[in-house]
Amino acid sequence: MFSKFSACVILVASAAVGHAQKGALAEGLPEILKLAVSRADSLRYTGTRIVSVRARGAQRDTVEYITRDGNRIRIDFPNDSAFAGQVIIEDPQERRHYLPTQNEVRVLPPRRGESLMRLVASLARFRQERKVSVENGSVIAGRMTRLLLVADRRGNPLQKLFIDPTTGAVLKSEVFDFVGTSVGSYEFKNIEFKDRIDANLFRVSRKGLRTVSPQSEAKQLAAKFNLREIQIPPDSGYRLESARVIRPEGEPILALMYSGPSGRLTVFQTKTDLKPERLSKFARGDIATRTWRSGGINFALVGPKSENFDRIADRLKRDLGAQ
Amino acid sequence: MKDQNQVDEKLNSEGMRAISEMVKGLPDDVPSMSWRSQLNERILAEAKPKKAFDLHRWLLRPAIGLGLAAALALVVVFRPIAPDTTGSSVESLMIATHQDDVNYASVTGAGLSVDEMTEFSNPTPVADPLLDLDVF
Repeated sequence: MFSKFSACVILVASAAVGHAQKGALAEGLPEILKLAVSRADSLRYTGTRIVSVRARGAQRDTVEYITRDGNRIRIDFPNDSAFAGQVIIEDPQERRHYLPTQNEVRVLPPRRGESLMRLVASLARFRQERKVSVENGSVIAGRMTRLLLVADRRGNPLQKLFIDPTTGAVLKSEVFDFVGTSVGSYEFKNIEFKDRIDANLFRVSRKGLRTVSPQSEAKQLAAKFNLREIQIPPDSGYRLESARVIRPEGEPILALMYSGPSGRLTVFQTKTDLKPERLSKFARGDIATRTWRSGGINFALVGPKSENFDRIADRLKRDLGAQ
Repeated sequence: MKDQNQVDEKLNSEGMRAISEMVKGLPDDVPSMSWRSQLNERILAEAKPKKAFDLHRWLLRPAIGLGLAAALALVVVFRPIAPDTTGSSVESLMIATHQDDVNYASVTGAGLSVDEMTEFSNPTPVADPLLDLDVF
């Protein structure tokens, strides 16, 4: 009984703090962005969107069927898609990705609200270094939009959001790299706003499903490549989102991607020698880096500059008994 | 001594005296001043290219030689060391991996991440179970 009561108090308090934080961050921001933030948890719609990313030299376009009921979202894929049969269901607690061919579900931290809130947080933190402007956008999914353009001090575009001024829905988003090339975008091709969405759509029941978490993957990969099993402490607010090995043809580098209150952090470990000055040279903008060595393995932490960053780096080093 | 007498006798012979008289009788051929002047000019003209040739030989050639030697010395002394591509690529790869993750997460949201697009792409489309409903 007490634990249930405590849980309720914590939940209400966190929601209140979250709301207050949103309000504080949104101060001084364009009205259209405030509208998008305020409606983010209450929109109900079904629609089709195209996600395009230019990753590792290849363009990838994916069609997603979106069903959204406030802070819950379900994503299905067309029958002729390479992802047909897969289902993603996300709520404020977690994101579950069902993979029918593997008969498994991958449980990850939620992602949806992250991008909008991170944009707002970034604008609040780097107010002097960002230019935000609003103008008439194009017609997206049959609806006239307002274009929110986020640029750097010199006016180079960083992100474009096409927002429906009636509903606050972000109907198109585009992100640019340092040389102004679009690295990724999504765009709704159709959208239908609803009064009610069937709650059953957010439940998936399938017997015998194997549950896979990024923690279990990180553990397996660390053992396979004779690296250390480490994690950012959960009480820091950061949650492990994925674990993968990059450059598997050479000396393996294990990359652990975390999302949290100050953005995204990546913890790397490898037996290859690392040069801290080179790492910081490649990092641009607000990216901080830290390297250390422990037990013959080199570690690197990469993420946005913040007090959190230094605290987490110190904690990881201490936990590993680093030099 | 005997040979000397024989030579003197031959020189004083009638034939040799006749030839000597004939040569003495020839007119004295004095070169004209204009010819001398032309000759001088020709000598000067020939001498100039020779001077230029000398300059090339004594200054330019050694300079070229020294330059080549210096270049060779530079190549040997400051031989370019192969860049440590392994080291640099590891660090740049780490930053690129992190930056990609941040950029794509802004776009994909709850949808498929770039890694998932690669890792969970079905080689053949999964049969839609709803299609079986047509049988009933």
